[in-house]
Amino acid sequence: MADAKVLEGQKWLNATYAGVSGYVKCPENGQTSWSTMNSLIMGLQHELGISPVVASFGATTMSKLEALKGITDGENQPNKNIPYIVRYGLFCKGYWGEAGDTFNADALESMKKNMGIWQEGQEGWNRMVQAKVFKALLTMDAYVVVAGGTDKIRGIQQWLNGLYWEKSAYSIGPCDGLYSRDVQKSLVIALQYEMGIASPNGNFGPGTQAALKNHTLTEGATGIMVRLFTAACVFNEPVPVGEYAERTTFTSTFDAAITRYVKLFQKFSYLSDSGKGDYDTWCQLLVSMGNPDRKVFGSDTRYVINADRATWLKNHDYQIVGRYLYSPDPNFEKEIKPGELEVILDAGLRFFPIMQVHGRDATEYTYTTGFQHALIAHEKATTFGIPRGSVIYFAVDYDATQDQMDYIVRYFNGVVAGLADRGKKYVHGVYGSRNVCINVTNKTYARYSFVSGMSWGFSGNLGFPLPANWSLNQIKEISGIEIGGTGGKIDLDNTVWRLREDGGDPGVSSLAAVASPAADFISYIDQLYAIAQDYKAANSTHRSASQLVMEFVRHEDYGGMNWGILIGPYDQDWVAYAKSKGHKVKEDFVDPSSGYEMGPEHLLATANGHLLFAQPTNAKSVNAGDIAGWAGDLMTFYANWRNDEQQYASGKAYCDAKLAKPGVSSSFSFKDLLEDADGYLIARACAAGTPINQIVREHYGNGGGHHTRFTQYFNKRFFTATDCKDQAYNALTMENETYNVARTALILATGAQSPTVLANLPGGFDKLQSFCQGFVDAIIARVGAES
Amino acid sequence: MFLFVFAALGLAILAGLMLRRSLRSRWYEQPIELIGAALAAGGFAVVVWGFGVFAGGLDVRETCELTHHTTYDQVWRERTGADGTSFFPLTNACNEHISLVPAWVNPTIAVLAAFTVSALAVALFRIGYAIFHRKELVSS
Repeated sequence: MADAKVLEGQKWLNATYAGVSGYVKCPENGQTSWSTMNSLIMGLQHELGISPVVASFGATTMSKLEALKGITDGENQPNKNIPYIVRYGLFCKGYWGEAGDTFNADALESMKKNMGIWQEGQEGWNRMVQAKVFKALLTMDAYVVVAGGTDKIRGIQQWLNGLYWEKSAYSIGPCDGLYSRDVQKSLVIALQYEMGIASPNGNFGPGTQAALKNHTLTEGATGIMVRLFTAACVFNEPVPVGEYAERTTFTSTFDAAITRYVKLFQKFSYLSDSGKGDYDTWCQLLVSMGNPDRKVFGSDTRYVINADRATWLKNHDYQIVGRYLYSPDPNFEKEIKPGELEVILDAGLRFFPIMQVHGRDATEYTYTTGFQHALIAHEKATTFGIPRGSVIYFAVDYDATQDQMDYIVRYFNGVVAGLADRGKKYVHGVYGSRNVCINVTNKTYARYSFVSGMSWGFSGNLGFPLPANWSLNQIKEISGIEIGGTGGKIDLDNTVWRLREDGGDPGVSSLAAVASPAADFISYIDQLYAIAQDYKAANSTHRSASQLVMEFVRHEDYGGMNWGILIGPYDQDWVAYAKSKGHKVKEDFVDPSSGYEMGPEHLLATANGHLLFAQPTNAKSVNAGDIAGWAGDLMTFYANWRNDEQQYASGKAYCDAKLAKPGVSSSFSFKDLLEDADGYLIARACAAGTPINQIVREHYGNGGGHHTRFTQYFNKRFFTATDCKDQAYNALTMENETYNVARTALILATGAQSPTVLANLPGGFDKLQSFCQGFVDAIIARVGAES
Repeated sequence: MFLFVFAALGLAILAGLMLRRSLRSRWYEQPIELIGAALAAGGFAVVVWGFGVFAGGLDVRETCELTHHTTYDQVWRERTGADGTSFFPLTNACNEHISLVPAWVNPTIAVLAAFTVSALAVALFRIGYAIFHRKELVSS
C-alpha cells in the first residue's frame, strides 16, 4: 500500500539528487524499501561532500557526520537538506508529524524511545540526530514489535542499545522483537566489552572463546553477565519439552528458574545438564556449532567406509556415520559402494543416508530437480537394500538466505512428490543451516533435521535456534585422519547424534526388509478387533466390533465425562474385558508417509466421533463428530490466537506460523492434523461397513491411503475451499447446543474472546475470516504437497 | 451451555424477585418461593458441574502440557481415579500435583445441591402440611 509521505520523500530525493554523480533513483511508489533508504544515504553523502555517492553508509559517511556534532531541527542548521533527509528517513520508518521545512523532533524522540536510547532530562540531546542514530535511521530496521516478534526480545534489544550504543564497535540494532543475525552480533559485541576483549567485533573468535571459559555462571550469580547470559537464553527459546515449549526470563539474577531452563536447554542440545552457564552452554547459546571440541558419537564423510575405516570409527567411539547415496561423478569417492553398508553394520555401527547433487546456488533448487533427486535417491537406496521407512537427508549445502527460501521449499516439494511417486518407501529429512531446516520442516514436514552447525557464520545459522526436530548437528570437520592399514587418510565431520528416545533418528541398524513402519499398529488393531468380535458375540451390545476397538483405544485419554457428554460413554464392560485379555492402549506408531509418530488415542477418538455422527448433508454444516476432530482443535487453536493477539494481529499469519507445523509447539499440531484426517477417513470407511482392521491395514500398509490422506480428507469432508472456510466459520460461531458447550469449554473458559463477539466488533468479521482462511490454506497446502 | 446459563440466570432473577418480595414476610415458609430458589440453585449447580467437567478441555494431555506446562501421568490418573470419569466429586488431574478441576468447583456443587434438596424438601413439607391442615379445617 502506497504511503503519501513516503512518496513525497521519494519524489523529493529524485528531484534533488537526479544529477548527482553515482546517485540511483528510488522507485516513486510510496513504499519503504532498501532502494529508498539507499537513495537517502546517497543524498546524505552528497550533502556531506562525498563524490561519487554510493549506496552504502560507510566509514567516510560516518566520520563526516560525526564532525557535524549532531543534526537539529533548528534554523541554525547550516545545511537545509540534511534535516529533510532526516524527515524522510523518519517518514520511511513510520514516524510522522508536521515538520514545516525540517524534521519533526517529537517524531525523532519517539523513535529514540523505541530504540531504547532516549535519555531522561536530556531534551536537547533527545531532539538531536547523532551520527549513529542517523545511520540506524537509514536502515530497514524496525523499532516496534513486528509479526512473530515478542515484547521480551524487544526489551532485550532496547536494553542492549541503551547500554552499548555509544561504544565504537556497536551499532544501534533493531528493536522488532525478533532474534536475528544483527541481534546475535550485538549480543556478542556486548559480551566482548564486558569480558574486556581488546577489539570487540562480534566474531566468535579464539579470544572470545578463551574469555568465556573464565565466565562460568552458577545459581546465585548476579550482574551484567547474567543479563547477557539470560538474553542469550531468551534468544534460544523456546526449548521443546515433549509437546510443550519451555521459556525463560531476561534477568540479572541467576535463580532456580534459570537453572531449570538451562538444564532443559542443555538436555535438548545434548550437553551435560549441569544447570550452569559453563563454557559449553555459552558456546551453544551463541553459535550453531557450540563447543566444536566436545565429545560426539556421530559422523559423516564422503569417504567410502571399508573394514579398517569402520573399525577405526568403532574404536574411536563413533556409533553412526552418514554416507552419500549418490555422486554425479562416479570417479569421485563419495557414493556408497556395493557391500559398504554391510561392512558398516558388521562393525557395530549404524548409518544414515544423505542425498546431495551439488546445489551450491539457489537456482539449482527447483521442483523438477527435487523430484528427480528423489527418484535417484529412491532407486539408489533400494539398490543398496536400505529398509522401508528410513529417512534420507536431502542436502542444501550452501548459505541459503531467507529470500531464497522459496526455491528451497519448492525443491523439497519436488522431493516429497518424487518419493510419493515411488510409493513413499523412504521419508525425507533435510540437511542445511538452521534456517533451512526450520523452513523445510515447517513447509514440507521433513521428519528430521541434519544441521550444518559447523558453518556458524552462515546467515542461516546466526540468529536461529536449533530446530526442534534436529537429529544430527555437524559441528567440526577433521581433515587428514590417518586410519592405517587399508584405510589411508580420510576427512570426517564430527556430528552430534540425538538418540531416538530423545526424539532423534535411530538411523539404519539393519538391512532386513520392513513390511511397513506402521506394522506394529496394524497388528495391534488386528488383535484388538479379533477380541472385540469375541466380546460382541458373547454379549448383547449394539456397538460394532470396530466401534468397540475405537472405544478401547480412546478410553484413557478421551474417555472422561467431557467426552461422554460430547459423543457418549464408552462400554466399560468391554474395556474391562479387553484388559483382562492383556490388552493395553498403544501409545504411538510411525506414520509411513511422514515418519512422524502418531497417537492412536486421538486418532480413534476422532474416528469414534465421526462414526457416531454421520456427516451433515449440507456442505457448509458441521456437527458433533467434527468437534471430536478438526473443529475441536480449531476452537482450542482459536483461543490460543486470541490470547497471543499482541504478537499476531492477523489470524492468517497465526495459522501460517503455528497451525500443523512440525516442531512448533501448538494446540493444533501437525500430529493433530494427521490424526484428524486419518480418524475421519477411518470412520467413513467403517460407516460404509469395512471392518476397522481392514481399513487400518489398507490405509497404513505399503502403497496405502496414507499417501493421499489430505486429498481424500479435503475432498470428502470439506469439498471446496469456500465450503471449508464456511465450515470453519460455522464451527466457531454456529448457535447449537453442542457447539455452545464446546466453545464455552475450549474458548471462553480460557479467557479468550468469543468468536461471535469478535465477529460483531468493527473489523472483527474480517479478522475471523482471515483466521478461517488460514485454516483453509493449511489444509490446501497439505493437499498440494500430495499432488 | 448458554441455555443452561440463561435458564439459571432466569431462575435466579425470578428467585431474587420472589425473595425481595418475601423479605417482608418469612419467604422460607412459602413453598412456591422455596421451589424457585431450589431451581435457581440447581441450575447453578449444573452450570458449575459443566464447567468442572470441561475444565481440562477435550484433550487433557494437551491441556496439561501446553497450558499447565506439566507432565501428564496416565498411570497416576488411572490409579487414583482422577481421570475425569467421576460424576461427583469431579476429579481430573494432570499428575499428583496439578488438578484441572478448580478447588472451588466441588464444594460449590455440594453446597448448591444440598440447598436445592433441602429447599425442595421443606417446600414439600410445607405443601403437605398445608394440605393436611386444610383437611383438618374442612373436617372440623
